[in-house]
Formats: sequence, C-alpha cells, structure tokens
Amino acid sequence: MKIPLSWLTEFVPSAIDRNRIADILTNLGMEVTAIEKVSPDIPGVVVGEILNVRPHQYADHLRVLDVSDGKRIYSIVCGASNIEPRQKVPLALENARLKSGIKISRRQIRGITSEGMLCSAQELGIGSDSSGILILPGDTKLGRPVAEVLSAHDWVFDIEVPANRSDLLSVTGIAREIAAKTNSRLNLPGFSEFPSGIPQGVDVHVTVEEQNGCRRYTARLANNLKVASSPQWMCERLIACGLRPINAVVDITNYVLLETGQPLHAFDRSRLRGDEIIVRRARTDEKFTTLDEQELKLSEDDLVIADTERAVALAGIIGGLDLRITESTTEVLLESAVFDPKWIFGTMRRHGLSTESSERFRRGVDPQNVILASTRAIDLLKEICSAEICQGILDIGQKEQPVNPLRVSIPAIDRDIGIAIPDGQKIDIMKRLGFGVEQPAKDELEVRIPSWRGDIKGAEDVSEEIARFYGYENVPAQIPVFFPQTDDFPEEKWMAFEDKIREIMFGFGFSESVLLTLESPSEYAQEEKTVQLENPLSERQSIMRKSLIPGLIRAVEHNANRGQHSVCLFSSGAVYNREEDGSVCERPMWTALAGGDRPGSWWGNTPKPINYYFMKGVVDGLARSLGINFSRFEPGCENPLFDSSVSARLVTGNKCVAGTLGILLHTVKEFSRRNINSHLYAIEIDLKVISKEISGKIQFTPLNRYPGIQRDISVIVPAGLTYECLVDIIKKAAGDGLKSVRLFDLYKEEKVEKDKLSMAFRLTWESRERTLEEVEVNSAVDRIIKALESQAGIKVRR
Amino acid sequence: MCRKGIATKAMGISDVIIDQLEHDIEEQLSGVDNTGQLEQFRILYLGRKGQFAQLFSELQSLPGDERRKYGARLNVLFQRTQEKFDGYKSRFDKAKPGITATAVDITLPGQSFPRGFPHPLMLVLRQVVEIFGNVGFRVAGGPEIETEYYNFDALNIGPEHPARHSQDTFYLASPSRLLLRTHTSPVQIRFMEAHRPPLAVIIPGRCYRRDAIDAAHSPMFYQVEGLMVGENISLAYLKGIIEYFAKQMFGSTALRFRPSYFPFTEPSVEVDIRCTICGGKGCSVCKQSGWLEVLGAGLVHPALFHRVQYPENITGFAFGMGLERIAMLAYGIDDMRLFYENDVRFLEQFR
Repeated sequence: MKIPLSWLTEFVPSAIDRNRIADILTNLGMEVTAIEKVSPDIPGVVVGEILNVRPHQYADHLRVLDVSDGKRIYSIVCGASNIEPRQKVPLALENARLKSGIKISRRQIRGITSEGMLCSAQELGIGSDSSGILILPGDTKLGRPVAEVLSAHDWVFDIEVPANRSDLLSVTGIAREIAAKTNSRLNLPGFSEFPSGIPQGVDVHVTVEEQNGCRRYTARLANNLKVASSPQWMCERLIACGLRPINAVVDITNYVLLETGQPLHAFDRSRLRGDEIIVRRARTDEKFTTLDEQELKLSEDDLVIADTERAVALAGIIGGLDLRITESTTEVLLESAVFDPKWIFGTMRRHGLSTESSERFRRGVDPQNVILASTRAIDLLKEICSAEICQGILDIGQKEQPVNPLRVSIPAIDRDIGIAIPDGQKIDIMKRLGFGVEQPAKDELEVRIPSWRGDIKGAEDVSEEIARFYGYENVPAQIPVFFPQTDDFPEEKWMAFEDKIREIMFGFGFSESVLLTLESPSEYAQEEKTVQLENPLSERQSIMRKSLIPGLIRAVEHNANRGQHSVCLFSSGAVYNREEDGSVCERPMWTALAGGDRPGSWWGNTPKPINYYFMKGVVDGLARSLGINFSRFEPGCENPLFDSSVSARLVTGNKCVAGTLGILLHTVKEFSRRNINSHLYAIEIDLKVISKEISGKIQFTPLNRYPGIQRDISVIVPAGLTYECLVDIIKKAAGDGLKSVRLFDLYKEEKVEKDKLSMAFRLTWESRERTLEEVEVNSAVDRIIKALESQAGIKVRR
Repeated sequence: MCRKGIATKAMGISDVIIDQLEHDIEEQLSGVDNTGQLEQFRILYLGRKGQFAQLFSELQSLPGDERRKYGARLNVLFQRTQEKFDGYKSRFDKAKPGITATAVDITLPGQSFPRGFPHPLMLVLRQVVEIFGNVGFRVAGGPEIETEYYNFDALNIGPEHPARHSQDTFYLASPSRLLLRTHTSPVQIRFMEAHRPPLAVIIPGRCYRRDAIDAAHSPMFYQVEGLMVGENISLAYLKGIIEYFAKQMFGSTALRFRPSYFPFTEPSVEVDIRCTICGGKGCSVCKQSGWLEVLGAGLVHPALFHRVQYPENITGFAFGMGLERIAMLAYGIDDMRLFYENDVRFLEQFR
C-alpha cells in the first residue's frame, strides 16, 4: 500500500523522520520497500538557460528572450521582471502541461511568436509564489525535466502489508501501529455524530436476500449536491496513493477507503429503478457492465447489488455503469457494507477482477468501521459538494458482535519467544495495540481483541504480537541442545550415492547440469503415460518430462549455438509417468549425454570423436567404481529415443534392465537445424535398479603369492560373431585357472579376408596354490584353439 | 678443469670401472661452466675416440653373458650422459629469455586430464546440507506431485487463499486436483506424520510456481525447508540456527529478522542479509534497501501439530529458502536463467 508521509504525520504528529518511520514499520512486519519523492506532475517542463533578453517591439511590459535547453534555442515572450541572461529557469515547451492543467502551445504574443513559457513556482504547483519566474540553481543541468530537479514536497512509502492484516490497508491502521510503537498520540480526524433511526422522507427500501454474502448493509442519502472536481489536497493524496481522481463524490469514497480501510460505494440515486436496493445472487448469465465498461456475464455464485430491474454493482468489487456518479448527479445513495470474503474472492477469481475495494473485503474489514466510514464520507460530501444530508440510516443485517476474550497462558508466550518478557511489559504492549487485557491469574492473561484485528485467533497470535512489538532484534539468538536422531534417513543415503556418481563423472570429464522438468509434448514420439498440466504457461512447458534426454539435448544445442560443440553433461532427477491405473509416479533417473570430441585432448593426443566405445567405457568405469556388475549389454533396446542398431540395454547381474547406452535417434536434418553437428550418445540409468545392486561390503582377498603365466593368441573372427561369444568359448575351454582374458588389439583384416576382424587376446593363468607348469598352460591353450576352431570355425594364429 | 680419471688404453671392463666412470662424469660435469669446457667434456667422453667409444669396442671381445650385462649398464650410462650434455649445451647455446634452459621445454602444457564441473545449485545444496548436518539436521524428502491437502489445507492455506488459484499453481490434467508442489513445506506434514518429536530435518527439493521464466523467476526452482520440533523449541533457537547458517554460508554479515505472515507459522519471520553487492549502501540488486531477503521462517503453527497429533507441549520452528537465491548471493550470479541453460562457460566456473 502507498501512503504519503504527510498523511501519516497528520495522524501521528510525532512521526516526522521518514527513515525512522520506515525502520519502525519494517521491524513491525510492514516492510517499506521504497520511499519515493513526490514531485509535481509537470511533463514537458525542462531546465533552460536564458541567453539574452531583448525588449518587445510592440509591448513595453514584455520582453523577448533566447532560451536554450542545451539542444536548441527557443524564442520566448515573457512578462516577468526578475529575469536576466545566464539564469537557469523552468522552460515549458510546446505540449507541456502545468499544474493548473494549462497546456502549452506556440502562440503569438503581441505580434511575436513565443515557443513556450517560463514558469513561476505557483505554475509548477510547488508553492504559492507567483510574483516572478522560479530561478533554479546555476549548476542545474540543461534539458533535465524540472520535476526531477525540484526538491520533494512530500514522500510516499510503499508498504508491503502482511496478507492477514486487512486493517493495515488503511492510513489509520498504519498510523495506529506507529503510534503504538512510539507510544504517541493518535490524531484521527473528527466526524459528526453517528446517525440513528430510519431516514425521514426517504423512499428507498433495502432488502438483503443473501445474508451469507452480506452480513450488514447500510445506506445513506445525500441530495442537492454539486459534483465538481475534488480539492487539490484530496487529489494529491489520491494520486500519491496510486488512485486517479475522478470527481468529488467518487474521490470522497476512495479517500475514506484509504483513510479507514472501509470500502464505500456511491450510486446515482435518481437512476435507481423501483426505489429498491436488493442484495442478491446474480442470475445465471445475467449481464453486467462495470464502471470501466467491461461486459461481464455473471453466475449464481456472484453477489450483486440490484434495483428491481437489474444489477447495479458487483457487490464489494465494482460499481455498474448505469448508476455511476456523473457531473449531472444530484442525489447520492452511499453504501457502506460488510461483504463475505469467500464470495468476494470467488467473484474476483472467476472474472479476473481486483479493485481497492475487493482487496479489502477479500481479507475481511473491521465491522466497526461501517458506520464510521459512512459518517466520515457524508461529512465530506457536505463540506465539498454542499450536499444536503438525509438524517438517519438504512441499516440491514447484523450489528457488531462482541468477540469472546482469549485466554492465554503466560508461560506459553515465554516458551514460544524463548525469553521471559516481564508480564507488565506484555500487558503494556497489548494495551498499546488496542487490546483489552486482564490478568485473572498469575499465569494467565485474558485478552479482548479489538474489532479491527480479525487476524487474532489463538494464543500463538498473541505471542506474535508481543514478540513483534518487543522486537525480533531484541530476542536473543540461542543454539538448541543437539539431539541425536538414529532413524534411517534414506534421502541421505541416496544423496551419498548420487555424490559418488557425480565424483566419478567429473573424473571422466562430464559436467553436471540442472534441467527444467516442464517440457513440450513434441519432445516425445508417444503420448501415452504423459503427465500433463491442466494450466500450463505454454504448450512448450505443458508436460512433465519422461526422460532427461530432451533437456540434455537442449543444453547441447544451447552450447552449440555459442560455438561449443564438444559437450559432456550428466543430470540426475525425477522423470514422471502416468501409470495404467491413472496414478502418477516420480522415478529417479540418471542420464549422461555427450557429443563432439572426447574430453582430455591435448598436443600429445589429438582430438578423437566420442563414439559408442567411449560411452561404454564410461558405463564400465562407473560400474567398476560403484562396485556393480552389468552382466550383459543386450541388443534390442526399446527406448524410442535411441537408435537401436547402435544401442544396448544394460542388464544387471539380477537380470534387471538398468538402462540404455547408445546413439540417439535424431535425423541428421533435425540436429543440423538445431546446430548440432555430431552424433549424440547417451547413457540412461534407472538409479533405483542399480542402487539395489550395490553391496557396500568390501571383502579383502589375500594377494596371490604365485606368479601367473601369460599367453597371447590372435584370432580371425568372421563378421557377426561377438566379442562376448568368443570370450565365453575361451573361458569354457580354458577351465579353472584362467584368471583374465584381455583384448589388446583389434583391426579389420582387409588384406586377409574381407569383413573379418583380427582380435588379439592376452590370457593370464594363475593358481593360488602353486606355481603353474608351462605344460598345463600349453594344454589349456590347445583346448581353447580347438574349441574356437570347432565351435565357431575361427582360425587362430599362433 | 680437473683432468683426473683420464682414460688409459685397454682399461678392461668391470663394475668397478663403470662405477668409476659414472663418478668421474658426475664430477667433471659439475665443474663445467662454459661452452669450451663442455666441448672438452664431449671429446673426452662422448667423442668418436672418447671413453664410451673405447669401452663399447672393448665390449665386443667379452663372452656373451658379460657382454649383455655390462652392455646394458654402459648403454644406460651413455644415454644419461648424452641427455645431461644436451641439457648443458642448450643452456649455454641459448641462454636467452623465452628459450628453454632445460632438457625438455618445461613450459609446454601438460597432459590434459578430463575434469567435469559441478552445477552451482547442486554445490550450494551440498553446502546447505552440510552446514545443517553439522548441527544435527538430517535430510528428508517428499514428492513433487502433491495433493491439495499436503500442499495447502494441512498448512492452514484455506480454499480462499489466492496461492491456490490456477493462476499461481500448476495442477495436473489428470488425476485432477493433484498439483506440482509450490513449496517444500508439505514435507513438514509428511515427515511429522511418520516421525515423533524431537526431530530436526532439512528438506531440499524442486518446487513449481506459475511464473514465466525471467531473470528473477522460473516455473521450476529449488527450495530447502528446515524443521526442528521438540519441547521448548523457541523463536530464540530459530534465530540462533539461522544466524549460525548465515555465518557459515555468507561469512560474517548483518542479519535482519522482520515480522511477517505465513499461514503455517506463528509468529512468522522473514530474514534479510546485508546486501552482498553494495554492503548496505543501496543498489539496484537490493532495490536501494541495503537488505536482501534470504528466507522465510517462523514457529510452527499449533494447528499443524494438532493435525499430526503431536502432544500439546511440543513447539518447533520451520524455515524455507530458495536455493537459487542463495546461490545467486553466494556467487554473485545475476540471472536465474543461467542455472537452467547449462552453458559450459558458466559451469566451468564452479568447482
């Protein structure tokens, strides 16, 4: 809420220092987010310098000046006597507007063209001096708007009010807090005696049909009034608070709303049909045109103020066009009511409306303000619009209800705050805030809640009031006693698991990325299982991701567009699926993606592109470091994002599919459109599956004391026979004692036979009981060769 | 230059002779300090008629075993001597700036070992977890797809609260009324339902609000929730823990505790730190206020304890902070979008 300093000072005369007020408010929980200078609204008036002064040929009392704004020189005719060359002055150029509303244009003054005018303080709206031109300081910069140069005549606080404190959406409410904190007098404006009894000679009747929506409805009548524009002081305050002055009647209702927090509405009485005000539900599809000419189609859940024929206002939110106050209005019906927050909120939401009035009703208004605000507005109508007031008031519904006092345990307050504030001080704080306080027992307070504090509901709210006024800054900081928690915290284990993977991946040259989880459905070929948003911001972010791959591709694309084509990234986080039974599941997923050159190239090792085997090495390294075993890399990858001809399913020792490794299926065309000029490879791992494979237990094996024996064999392998198959044959044929089989060379044997590969293996035998004999190993090698030749038709080169 | 150890003809080869030779070379070289002396050294040992040449020719007349044995030793010594000589030579020849004075160019880049980089958000997340872990907070978590009960109702956010509006909260198309949690606070309830006090946990996680992405907003972001519940857990303890955290995270910096309002805490607090950019003088980052909001907190509202059926004497505090905000303050990052772009030049700056 915006409130000018001058208004606060009027209500709390001791509140003068704006920075101190800002600190007080912020420390009480009303954060002052800005203190802005109020400057006169004088667009087009800039700083000019008088270059020379000549007499006017045809008029003795006028002179002709050359005035520069730093860009060009203007010829100005001026009648003031206090001007001399080299003075800096306010120069109103063509189209400038002065405080009085005068718009400046080029015109002839006694036969000489004046391209603008110089201004007095009064013309700028910053004082009453009209005796001469306002002379600005000599060092003022030419061409600057004069509004910026002039010192402020008021300041406006921008105050963020807690959402539960509707009472603070008023100058009175804010002033009340300042007065309470500074223990100073609150100087609220006076008002006439409250009206009583039914108005005499009034023919309007009020019916509240929907009492749930309107607890109380009051109306007063004013006749024979003159709708002019509001006085300057009122306009200034409305503008400072961010409202636009409209006409005196409307402005008075807004002014009282700002002052008291109670929204009011003024209807043109003469246009009311049937002499009746009815508070009722709107009819289905009932049409209603607001003051600002929005056409609304209402529903039965909206509450309206109506006459016998039509809705004339959307209750508590906005008035209708038909009964709005115009300059020809002479009779006013002034509404002051209490509308139910639920109704107001529902209507605001359905129609996307938010007004000064609805924002207050939505939070709940002070029921005691209904008559006060109405009386205050009537006083102002009398004063400003010379209205004749009908005595008495139409008043339907519940009057104020006394709120039951709250019993609060004193030790509970001390326990909450963590410090024993003396009871006297607690009571003092509550009293200053307008609460009635008794201490019926040593450990107990009985607190009567003032009508404007609808937010106070329980003892905890009283603790807050006391803590807030005592000052959070005065509450000591203490460290609680540590208590061990011995439960299992699965999230911690999970984080440690992820951390281990992160460290391994950093070592492989992969960087960590964080991806948005909202995506476009076009990223995925299939629509099934998709978790869709009902109200996405855009189609591009309308589903929850089903894989981390599209997000990682976007990251690669982002980097490619900035000239970085070699990228190795990984990311970890949930993917989301809709299950067959309609429920939704979040599954932790881990994905690495790489394209371009391998990391770690240098002058001793020229860049090599990332390929399937690089990524497989990452999988192997990851598995080895985690102590898990992907027992097989199987063909037949079913993930539609991968090219199944260069992809494998990762199968664990327990025969679970843990993920996919391979090349991504995106047409070359699409990648090149996205500026990605290499194949992209990905590893996708279901972390839940592999986390189950990890055994944290490490069992030491004693080192072998006996030396091993190595033999190399080289085989020519026909196309289509896999490495894995060969190794199986070798291992089976070798029998016990074969410790390892290592492929150390592989090349295409074009010279020997087409499409055949040459593979060289180093085989190592070891025994834990004795030194092996050459003869044993030789016979094992013979068995291997025979097996390879007979089972796979493979030639072995010795 | 000392002439000691000059070769005589047919000295014969033995381990002793080679030891002597090695010792002589060492001694002679250490005395070399100009090109002339180096040249003399070369002629004496490495030249065509030098000692190595002589010894290598003598090797030929030895029997096979000895030849192999001494040959290997001599070869090693010869190569080492040659390297040292080259080193000296280049030092004398090119003793000018920018020219190597060593046997290898020690300034060439070394082998590049690949190294990836952590994401700043995950880095800060780990720091936060560690800081709270050190004072006994354990880590808990909960689902991102939530019910209205946990995200709103259980937290005293009633049906009329604007935050529930589909303008601010993402709802799922089906099953309807499920939503993407707007804060990590629902996990407070979930955790308390499953555990009895006393407890102290922090809860990191992704959250969602219906904000278009810009420098200060994102529809998805990370939050860290904290919850400490037990007997006599007070506002003073909340201050103590937050001050401890801020000091660990940001170093010694002024803090401001402001009253605020959240439906699920009472009293409620908002915590600001002195602007890390301007030090409190006022700048565009802190909007001239000199303070930056870092977290919201408060004492857990008794209604929450009631809902999870905790005894009357239990109190506690909760707090929540935006991880992006913390990372932005910690590293001086000025645009939230950088976190989700994963620009390599951005990631490389964190370690």
